[in-house]
Amino acid sequence: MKALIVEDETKTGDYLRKGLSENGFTVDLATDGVDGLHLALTGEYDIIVLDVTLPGKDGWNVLTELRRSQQTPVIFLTARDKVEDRVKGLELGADDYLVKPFAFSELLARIRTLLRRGKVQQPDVLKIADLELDPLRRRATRGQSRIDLTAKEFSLLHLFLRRQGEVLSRTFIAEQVWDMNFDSDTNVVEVAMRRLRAKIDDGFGQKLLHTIRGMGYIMEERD
Amino acid sequence: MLLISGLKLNSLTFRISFLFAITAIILLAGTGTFLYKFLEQELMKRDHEELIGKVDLFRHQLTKINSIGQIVTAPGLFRDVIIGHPHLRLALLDEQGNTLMSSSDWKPPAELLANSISIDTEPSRATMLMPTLDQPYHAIAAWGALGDSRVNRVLIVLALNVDEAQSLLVRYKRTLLTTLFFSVIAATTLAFIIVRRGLRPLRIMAETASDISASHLQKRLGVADAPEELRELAGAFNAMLGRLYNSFARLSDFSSDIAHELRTPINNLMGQTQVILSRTRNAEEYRTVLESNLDEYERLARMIREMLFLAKADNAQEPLHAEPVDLKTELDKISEFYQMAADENDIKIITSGSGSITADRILLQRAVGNLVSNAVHHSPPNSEVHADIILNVTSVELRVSNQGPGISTEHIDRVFDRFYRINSKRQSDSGAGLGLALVKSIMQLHGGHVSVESEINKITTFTLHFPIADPAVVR
Repeated sequence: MKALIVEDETKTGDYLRKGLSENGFTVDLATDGVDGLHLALTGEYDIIVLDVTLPGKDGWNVLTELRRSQQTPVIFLTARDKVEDRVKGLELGADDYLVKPFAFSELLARIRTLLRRGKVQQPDVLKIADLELDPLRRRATRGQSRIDLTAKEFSLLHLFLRRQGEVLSRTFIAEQVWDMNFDSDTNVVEVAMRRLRAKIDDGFGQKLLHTIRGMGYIMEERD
Repeated sequence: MLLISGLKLNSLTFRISFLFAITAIILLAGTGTFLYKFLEQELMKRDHEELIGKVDLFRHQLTKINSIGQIVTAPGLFRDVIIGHPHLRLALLDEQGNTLMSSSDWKPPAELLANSISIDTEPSRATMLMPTLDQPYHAIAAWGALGDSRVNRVLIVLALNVDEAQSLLVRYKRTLLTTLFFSVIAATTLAFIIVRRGLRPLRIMAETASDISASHLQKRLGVADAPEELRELAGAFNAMLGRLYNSFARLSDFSSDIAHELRTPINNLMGQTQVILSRTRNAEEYRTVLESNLDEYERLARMIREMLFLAKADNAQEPLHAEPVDLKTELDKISEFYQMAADENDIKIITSGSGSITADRILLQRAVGNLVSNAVHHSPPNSEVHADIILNVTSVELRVSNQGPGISTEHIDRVFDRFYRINSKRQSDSGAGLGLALVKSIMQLHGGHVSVESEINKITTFTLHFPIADPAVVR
């Protein structure tokens, strides 16, 4: 996967490059709009992360010119979160936007969502290690034993199985599972995660649900 | 000229003075014209009466003679009548229009004689000729009979030179116009001075107002000594100053609060990082500090988001994405979410009622979520949190109540203030103290409000009041 970051703020650019590289992307970094547009048009990128305020040529212009010839997915980064700005970005053809300050895990989750768009459908039965979840029959099993889950716990597990290997932030989880679209009390998510973990991991040798402190939770097989 | 200096065309003084001057011009010009016309009429009447009188006199003289020839032979009989009247001209004509006698250098105007046949015999209805520019005579023509024959008659033509009267009128007109001109100037000047004096309280008020600046917001306009008409304005202005002062004070409190709130976490971050960098440590120690820093950053980021929201809500910049919202659905979702945390302390969230309003769903969630979260947080174990939807005639209420320590009266008015915490200690697990301020802002954006009632160690109830534009729609 190739990603292009266009960001003039050195620290932001550096940590984005580091973060995306460590998550399996080949990353190019441009520090102004002119270089950014040139790279975007010549390199074959799967995703472009574009800052709005850039020297040389601002993000809006870069996007407008890019969209004349290419449909590479673009995520906007902006420190201004006026609604007009978001609408403008989306109208110009951006695929998503993030307002600074944002969590890196959030950016990663959104990039993955964009890359997954239009790709193969989820299999009927989701599984990781010996944990299986059948969304149609609303059944979850680990090894030989069936796991009793409440409706919300089922949605929660379903979310983690769909996004295996991704760090999901508490805010994201609250939004996806409970439709709480604001900075909700994240302690509540911790309680929910504790309960889910008690049902799927407790008593099993291999733990599947892991806490990444300060970032959220991840479901993956670890050795 | 000193008075005029600095006078703007749209100033009240100018406008009133101008209108007054116009009024004065109209009134004075009207009066002048009337007086002039009146004098003109009177002069005319006087001339007319004089002419009629003279005609009568001639008629009388004519009765003394018996033939037209006598007129020529005894002109003194007639000439005597006009002696001592230098302005009078006389001509006597026979029926064929031949002049029998006349004042030396005078010819009766042709217009007057054109249809002499139709000239009346009654002197009061004698044919008149009015003076014009070419012809300065006020003339009259009438038939007079000779002796007692009643057969022979003579046309008497009398004319009065009106030059003198005309020049009197001209002088009168000139005097009138001069007087008018000076009266208008005097009236305008007086009006200007009077208006200026009359508007002095307004100017004093403006001077006081211009002294008021951000640092002198306590200054007020004098209401007691202001004239009746300005008292209301001064009162309203003072009330506005009061509101300004309050929001200004709140704003500067807010700024210093922000600085304070940021200082503690940033201090922690700096100190912690400096300590850990002061010597080489193992990876686990670095990780612990980084993780702890991350928590702190998240709190800061959240605080910034909330402060931005409040700032935008204050300026009404935050647009409402209003849509019909089913309150029960939202409330049930929120209570299900917080029930998980409540379970930890065996607290039960009980909802009741239903209704729908037009609101921004995400903001509504946030407001209700904050209240429910607070209620769960402050409830003792084994208690109940009630969240009820109540429909009134003009509003929909959403009440969230819980048992608990309650809020004392000294705090209750300030719980919606930004960064206000009842126990002033900053706890790391609680928010920035912006939760209820956010609720208040959200309600204001919806045209509603939030209220609180609390009894110490009993029930505390927060109520969201949503106004209904059309009460019939809700049910």
